[in-house]
Amino acid sequence: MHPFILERPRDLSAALALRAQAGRDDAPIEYIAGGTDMMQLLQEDVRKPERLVSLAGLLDNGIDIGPQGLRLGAAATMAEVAAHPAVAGQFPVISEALLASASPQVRNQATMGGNVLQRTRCPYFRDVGYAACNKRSLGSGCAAIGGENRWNAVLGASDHCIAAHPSDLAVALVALGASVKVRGAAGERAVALEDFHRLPADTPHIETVLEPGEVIAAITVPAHPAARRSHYLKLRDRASFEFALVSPAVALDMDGPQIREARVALGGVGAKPWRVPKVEAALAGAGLDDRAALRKAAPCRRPAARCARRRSRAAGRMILPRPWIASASRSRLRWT
Amino acid sequence: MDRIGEPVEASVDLKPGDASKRFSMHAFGAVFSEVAVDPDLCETRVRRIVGAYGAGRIVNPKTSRSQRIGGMIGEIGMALMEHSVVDPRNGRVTNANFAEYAVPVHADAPAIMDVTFVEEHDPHVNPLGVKGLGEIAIVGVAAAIGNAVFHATGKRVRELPITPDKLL
Amino acid sequence: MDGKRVKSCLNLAALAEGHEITTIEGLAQGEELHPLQAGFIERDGFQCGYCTSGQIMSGVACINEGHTGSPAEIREWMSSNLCRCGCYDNIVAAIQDAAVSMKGG
Repeated sequence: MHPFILERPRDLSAALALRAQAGRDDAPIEYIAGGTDMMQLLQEDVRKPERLVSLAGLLDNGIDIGPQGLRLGAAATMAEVAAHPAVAGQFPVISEALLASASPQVRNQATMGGNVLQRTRCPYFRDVGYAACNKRSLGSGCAAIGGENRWNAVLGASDHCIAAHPSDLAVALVALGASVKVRGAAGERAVALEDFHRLPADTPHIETVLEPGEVIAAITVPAHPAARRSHYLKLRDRASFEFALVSPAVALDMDGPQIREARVALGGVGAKPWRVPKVEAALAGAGLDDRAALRKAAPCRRPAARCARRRSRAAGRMILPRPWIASASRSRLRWT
Repeated sequence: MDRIGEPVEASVDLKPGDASKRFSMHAFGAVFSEVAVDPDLCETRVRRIVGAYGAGRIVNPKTSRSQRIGGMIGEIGMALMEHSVVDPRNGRVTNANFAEYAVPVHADAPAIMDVTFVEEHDPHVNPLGVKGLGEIAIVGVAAAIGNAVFHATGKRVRELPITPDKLL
Repeated sequence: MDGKRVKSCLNLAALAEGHEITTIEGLAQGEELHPLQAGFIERDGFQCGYCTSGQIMSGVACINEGHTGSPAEIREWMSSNLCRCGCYDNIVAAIQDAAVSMKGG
């Protein structure tokens, strides 16, 4: 671990000012909140800041539910949110995504903000022995392209970067149309989570729309009839404690046995959580027991696999197109 | 030595007898496994492993059983998830860490791991009649899992690990 | 830390200042082993011992969190404590035993 100075500012504006000075390209100053990803990056020398600014105690950690929806303070931990009865009852996909993530120990410390901002698990990014990584060093190339990339993105990737976004929570939040409250020196602004993460294109080192000196203050999830009937499924090689090969989040607004509206997002396969509007449109109006209609909802010609929900109070079924599983789990460079 | 006043020397010629040519003195096992393969997701989970072993005199049944079930867990890893991924361009192992090299976790352990030691008196192997119980713990389980996957899906996978993409 | 299980490898010591930390050395009361420590011996919950302190600390928290309703639940909630020797079955049994005896007082 590269030596650093630990800063513990007394208030948020001091913390923001410290980071704002540093600019974007070279980040000699990094934030640490829960620390469960930042510590890994520090230990592997992926990040080598000169100063580490602790956000402990500076951000909102409340979980509030109201008629408008859900508000998650950036410092609320994964464990607290997952166990919150209102979240588990009214936004189950969020609770399920969190419980499928990481481990109890990590969830006790990891925060909402940190989870959304976590860096990719691409082995070529995380191993500094590979010099070619445009995320770590723009212009150096991408060792993952042409390498062992079973874990990498098939959606949203570019010639410069094929890293997949690893967060489960972000997938659930995108499916529910969540918004990020960003706080900076100039004040607060709201960004739809779907627009918060950037595609790599030719600037993979810039992953979000956060400017230097901005932090996530809160995440809001609008109330929506589909939220209550929502589910998260995580496909992985082993039964637990692993990142996803592919993971759909599905929320269904039902009219009796028919789907009135569907919200579907995919994780594990995209450079960012991937909303699939074509699947959503195809599911609208379909009956839950109409296998043919569900099969047709897949956006490509090969037959779709259908996966039944396992929850006892469930009303949702999911489409998990086999080609997506196949391309997520074989070495492939890009979705074509 | 004090009494004789000089060192005592003796020499003996020791070489293996021919018992190993006349008798098979290995430990033996038979392993069975029951798996569940999700037809849509192609995830394989092991439900049950049953092993019967003839390994001579079992000195410590508690630790002997632990050695067996430990081996069963290890072979679930071999069968379903463990794979050192080497980048052929430079020979570097890309998953040299616990995040990406998947070893079985608690949740991968089957609900039932049944171990039976068949009573075996082997007068030839050694005077105590004991045999080694080390390596045999991990032999056969991966094969049983592969066979069970074939039985479930009709797909014969000959390259481990048997990950979902190989069953699509 | 503060009664909740965390990964020590992901915690900066400096940021743990002011928090209450319990490690494996703090479980036993004098010569009297914690019920889960005793359970690990009874059920042969360890072989090489490398993961044992973590399994026990995580197991104690798992019991305190109330996630010991069934062996399947215990397995899921203990899944980030790896054991290459494969003692999982015995560890789960030890946790079940300790959960009962801790409830009993």
